[in-house]
Amino acid sequence: MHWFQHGCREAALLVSKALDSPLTRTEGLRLAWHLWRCGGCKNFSRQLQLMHKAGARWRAYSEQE
Amino acid sequence: MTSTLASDLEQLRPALLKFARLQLRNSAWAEDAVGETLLAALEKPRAFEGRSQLKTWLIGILKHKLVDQIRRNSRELSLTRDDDDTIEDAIFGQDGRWVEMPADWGNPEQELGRVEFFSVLEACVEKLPGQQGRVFMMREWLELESEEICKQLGLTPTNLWVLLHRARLRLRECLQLHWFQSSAGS
Repeated sequence: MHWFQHGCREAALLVSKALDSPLTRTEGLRLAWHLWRCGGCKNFSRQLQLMHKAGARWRAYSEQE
Repeated sequence: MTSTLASDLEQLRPALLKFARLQLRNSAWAEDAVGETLLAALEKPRAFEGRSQLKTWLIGILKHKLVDQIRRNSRELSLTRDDDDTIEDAIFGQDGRWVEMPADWGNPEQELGRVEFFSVLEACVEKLPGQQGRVFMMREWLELESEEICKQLGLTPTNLWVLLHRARLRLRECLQLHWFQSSAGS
């Protein structure tokens, strides 16, 4: 079953979009399904979370030296 | 007293300019924003305990001045386009799969607090194409909401997500190459 027409390319965009705005129910379900089956996208998702966390540290660092 | 402040400001100036440049991607605007920040600081000096408190205060002012600059130049900014960036075509194959599977970065909590990591991150942000760099900084450093960024830059929400996504794809590649790969080897 193909949930995403463009596979990981489309899933990756949703992983990123989720950081900026809530996904629709359909998007969320499709992404969850894809992540469950795809190790690469799961890693990508973790990488973005990590970068996001690093961004917060960076902000604090930039303000305090 | 005032002269001490002036010399402290002078010393912090390069740090402020670095962030202003990363944010605006335009040296002249960055100079203006920093100039306005320093002037505002001189006009209403306060007592600070140490340099780091002073810097926190200045960065706070700078962020406002950067948003002002973006507003002032929003017309010009809305015309900037990162002409058909091909990053996604390089990362994904025709079948939509990863050409190279994203690696497991683990959970390097400690590493991310290191000063060296921030210099790599800054160098990677600097390498982003103009508009991608701007939106990334607006989102992650100025912490603006998506709607606000769209309004200032004349972007649709979809434009913005794609720009942010491409910025993150590029940053990820850059961090993989210059941080995760090289630190794994050492």
